[in-house]
Amino acid sequence: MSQSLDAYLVLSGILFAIGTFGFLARRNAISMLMSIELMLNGVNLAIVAFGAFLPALNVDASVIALLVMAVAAAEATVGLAIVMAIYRNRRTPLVDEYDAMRQ
Amino acid sequence: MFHPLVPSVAPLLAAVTEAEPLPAGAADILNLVPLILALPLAGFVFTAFFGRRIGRFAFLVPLLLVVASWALAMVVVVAALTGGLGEHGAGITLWTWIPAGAFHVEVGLYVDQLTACLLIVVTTIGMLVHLYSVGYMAHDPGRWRFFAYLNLFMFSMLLLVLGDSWLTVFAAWELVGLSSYLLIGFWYPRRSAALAAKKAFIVNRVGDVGFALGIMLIWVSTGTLDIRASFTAIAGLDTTTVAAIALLVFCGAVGKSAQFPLHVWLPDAMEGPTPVSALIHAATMVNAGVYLVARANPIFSLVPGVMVVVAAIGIFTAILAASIAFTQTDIKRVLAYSTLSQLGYMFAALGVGAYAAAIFHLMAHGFFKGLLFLGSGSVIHAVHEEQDMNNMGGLWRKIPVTHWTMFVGTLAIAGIPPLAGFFSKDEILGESFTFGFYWVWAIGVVVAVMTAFYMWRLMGKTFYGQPSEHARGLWDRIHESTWTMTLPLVLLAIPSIGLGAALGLPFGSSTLSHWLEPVFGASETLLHPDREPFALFGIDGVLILVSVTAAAVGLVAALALFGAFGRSGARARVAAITASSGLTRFLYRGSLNKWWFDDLNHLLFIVVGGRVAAGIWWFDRVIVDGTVNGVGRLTIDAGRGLRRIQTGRVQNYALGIAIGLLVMAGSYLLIAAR
Amino acid sequence: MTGQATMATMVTDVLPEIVLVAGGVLVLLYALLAPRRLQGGAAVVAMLVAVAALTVALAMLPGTELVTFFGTYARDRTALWAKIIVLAATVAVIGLSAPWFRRDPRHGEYYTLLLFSSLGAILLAGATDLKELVVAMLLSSATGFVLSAYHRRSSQAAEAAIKYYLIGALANSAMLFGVALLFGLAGSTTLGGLAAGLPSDGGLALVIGVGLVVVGLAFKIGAVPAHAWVPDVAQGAPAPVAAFVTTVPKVGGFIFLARFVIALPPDAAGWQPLVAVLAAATMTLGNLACLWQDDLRRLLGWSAVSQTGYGLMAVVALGSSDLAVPALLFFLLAYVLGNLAAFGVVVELRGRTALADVAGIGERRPALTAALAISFLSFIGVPPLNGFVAKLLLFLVAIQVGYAWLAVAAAVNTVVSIFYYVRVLAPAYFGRPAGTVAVLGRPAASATFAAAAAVVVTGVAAEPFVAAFAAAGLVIR
Repeated sequence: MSQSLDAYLVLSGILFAIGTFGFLARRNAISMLMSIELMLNGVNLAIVAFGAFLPALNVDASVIALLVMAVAAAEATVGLAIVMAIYRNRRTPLVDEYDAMRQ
Repeated sequence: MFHPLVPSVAPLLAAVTEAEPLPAGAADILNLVPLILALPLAGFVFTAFFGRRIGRFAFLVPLLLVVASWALAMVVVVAALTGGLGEHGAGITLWTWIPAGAFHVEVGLYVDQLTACLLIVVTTIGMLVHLYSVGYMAHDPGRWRFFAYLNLFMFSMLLLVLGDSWLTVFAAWELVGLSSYLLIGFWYPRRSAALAAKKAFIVNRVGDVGFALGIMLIWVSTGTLDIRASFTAIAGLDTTTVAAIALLVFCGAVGKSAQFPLHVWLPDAMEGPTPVSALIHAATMVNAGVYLVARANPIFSLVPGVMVVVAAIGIFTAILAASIAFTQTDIKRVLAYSTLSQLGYMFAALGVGAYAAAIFHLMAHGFFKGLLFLGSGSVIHAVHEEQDMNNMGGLWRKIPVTHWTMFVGTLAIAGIPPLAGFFSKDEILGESFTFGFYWVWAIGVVVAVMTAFYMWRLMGKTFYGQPSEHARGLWDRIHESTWTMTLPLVLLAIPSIGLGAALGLPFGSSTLSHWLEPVFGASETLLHPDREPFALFGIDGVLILVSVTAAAVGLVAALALFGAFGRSGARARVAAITASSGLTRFLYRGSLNKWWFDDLNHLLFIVVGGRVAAGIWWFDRVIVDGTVNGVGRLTIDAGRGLRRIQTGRVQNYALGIAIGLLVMAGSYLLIAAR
Repeated sequence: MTGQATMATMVTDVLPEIVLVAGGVLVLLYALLAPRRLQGGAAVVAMLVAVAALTVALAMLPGTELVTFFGTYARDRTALWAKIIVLAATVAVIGLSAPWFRRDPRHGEYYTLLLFSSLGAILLAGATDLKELVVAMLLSSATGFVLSAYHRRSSQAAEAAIKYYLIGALANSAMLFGVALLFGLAGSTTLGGLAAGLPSDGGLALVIGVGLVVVGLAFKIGAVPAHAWVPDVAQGAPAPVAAFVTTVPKVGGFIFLARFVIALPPDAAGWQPLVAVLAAATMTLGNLACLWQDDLRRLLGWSAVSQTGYGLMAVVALGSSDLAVPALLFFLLAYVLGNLAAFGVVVELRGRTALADVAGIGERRPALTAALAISFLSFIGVPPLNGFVAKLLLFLVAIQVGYAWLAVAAAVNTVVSIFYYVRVLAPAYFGRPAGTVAVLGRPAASATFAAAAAVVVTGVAAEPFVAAFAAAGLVIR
């Protein structure tokens, strides 16, 4: 296990970037939801790392990490429900086909 | 940076705003002023909500309230003109509108002699037009709406002349524009009416932007929006700023009063019902620009260069519009161009510094042009909604009241003594000459000849000679309008005859100029400090003679060509002239096609403007969207080998966020690094 | 925060919030227990709850301004006015929703979501802590997504919801990453802690952290670069929901953004031009997109974007001008009322939204058309409507803090906006009516007329409002 905060932050940044890229590149709504989860995990890693390396932030970091998990769970629930709803209507999970409304 | 332009000016102008004790009883009079406004507003609200249910008699409440408003206004007018409100008028504060630190706007009303003059015109003609509309709109199912709008207009116009801060005046300025928009488009099923309404609204906004910028500049440079306080403060500014303020305010006036080059909306506005043309587009709203410049006379007088611009635009509009009126065949359009031309006279008068003369002409013109428009409405009614004068003729015996009152109006606008137009027009021409603006005078005299000519042409084609085929076809069904329509005509004919003599005598120091002395005196002294006394048997008498001769020449020429009463005149010659070739034909076609201004505007605003707008749209669609799409495609291509994948729209949105973030971070870093 | 604060006094600081939570649960219970034909009663209960919370918030106005709950929640008058605007808007939206959802067999929970969503906006307006921000954003967004998708069988609503959701999830994740960075940099999550602890030369991490949080807030208020959901939701979501999500969350988002920017280190003054550029971009983009819209709801969506751009002018001036807070609050008041009136007309017209559908309604429905005209004229900034006062204040503060170019850009945009608003009003008044114009019913009409009347009243009698807003402080510690 590395003893450097920077290493964890870089990893967290990489996770976040992979998530962002996945969100941009994937056409499937479910994949996009998973990408969001990846981004949130990146966030959590950064927060937990701050807590572990900076003793003063220990308590706060744990609280924020819990909050982020709650956000992740709640958003995923709502997101899946909406994806289900639109899938019933359109019979496709591919978001680039949801373009009935445009500029 | 303050360096007063003319040190001696400041105390002169400051005198205008100095507080003075009010005469006894003034407070009671002032308490009536808000009521003048509140009554039409109440009429509007009431009719808007209940008018449809009341139906046939929906006109009663608006009419009665406007009559009451007129009565109150007369009380206030008499008090203001006889010194009951003090030498420089008096005001009343209603409430504080926007308090924001130094930016403090109160809604207040102020009555002085200038306001009083405008009140006479607005309330009297407003009342008579309401009465006239009872008959004119009797068969229109939407007349409750019509009366609601009319009352809204009355409220807005009265607020415009009574407002005591620039912001209140601007608010009223917008409201008259709005009610005018609604009334021009009143017969909206006619596509031309809806288009005309839109044109009026948008052209007016061009001027309004200038006015709004002028008001902002006034606030920025003087720190006050109170009209009177700003006059004192402006005297201390440098000339460039004052000139900018004056030009911007004049922009607003040009839009509302339809002066060149924003004159194009007024003729189209004739699509509205005729009472609206009479009230808004002849007698009151279009005068708002004249009122504005007259009100701002302490500003304009500081910058003579701007005044020359005002005079030039005014007199140019006067001759341009008169030349167009020569050949139009729609009776209302002739009157519309005539209105443009007379407004041009008023601006010319303002420009040469003859403020009182401008207001004199404003009042006289309001009455006789209101009369002419209402008369034309009566004619149009008589010949079953026909507006083309070629389809009229010989009507003078069939509709005698309309004919004789319009006859009076025509002589008045032509400038035949002793009718109203003679005195007011002569004062403008005479003062242009004495103040050294010979070019304004010379063009003005030409316009006077033209005015007399095209007005008699209108009379000849409408009332005299042989009836046209169309008129003969319904000859037996042509009858005079009901009394609610003819009574206003008769009542308007009285001031058209007598107002000039009542206000314009004695020459040189007329009643009206005495009334308006407290408002304009300082400016007129500043502009023309060494003014010669009036000489009836000297140069001034000669000038009067020239004016009368000009009017007579125009009348006689038109009389010869278009006849009078039973005689047809030499109309065949008219046809011959218009059919000839060369320069004459070019002039004729130019006038008939309004010197191609509408085509020019079409080219400028619709064709070129449309291209520009389409270009912006294209840029947005192709460049902005295309970039987003392209970058998105690149990203995905990189991610999935070389497989070509189309992006979905949500990804485009998301990519927008990502790019936005990068741009933000980049620029933030750049700024922070500085 | 005072050292003596006890739990009891702290609880009274959040009374409106407590009323909303309890009321939301109450509505949920009612919806579960009531039979189908009485589901409409949930609207009445929700209305009572919102009015009760509104009354409490009004009663709290004279109190002292402080930060409660250990530096995490502001109880200042800015937050209170935001609560009042949010709750009044919620009352109006409940009025619009009642007839709209009448036929939906189980719409009782809808009102719970509405109440919780406005709670989210309220928390956002009071938050002085990034943790609080995270929770408030979640509450306000998640409920918003569900509300947008409430017509389960409408393919358009589902599409609007998924776009709203995906953009929202991305923006929220970005914001969370920003929160993590700022937390690490400052060692605290309270805004007071950020103000004290953020290094003024935080380098790239600070820049990215601030930028990411701003993106999250930009999503909430519908500003560039995260604005794209607004027109879709305005067009696709149920019309009362569109009225709600284009107004209420924006109030919260704006107030938190205001608190956030004054907490940033003053010598890293880069945020001011940043927000100014965002403001200019937002108003211009929104306006250009409006020009050729043939769908009234989509037009309203884009116009909401451009209005946000005007509002950001006040944020630019925060900290440099005393007028910035009153200008921001008055803008929010004017914008919310105007937008509610405009969407109210759409609701009352049973959601008909093509430009051709409004042709000639001036003849058939004069009062309704007047409401639409009032709202549009207020958006244009025609005096004496409240939109004019708002614009005036915004222009003033922009000029005061040396951003004259922004005021000029806004003025140009205002002139451009006349064209597309008149493009709707002209056919409404001067078009040919196509048959009868069916409308929805009394509650919706009342809400619409109340909003339109408020546009006029708060415009003509702007004085008490501006004066009250001028007395509102914006505290972060």
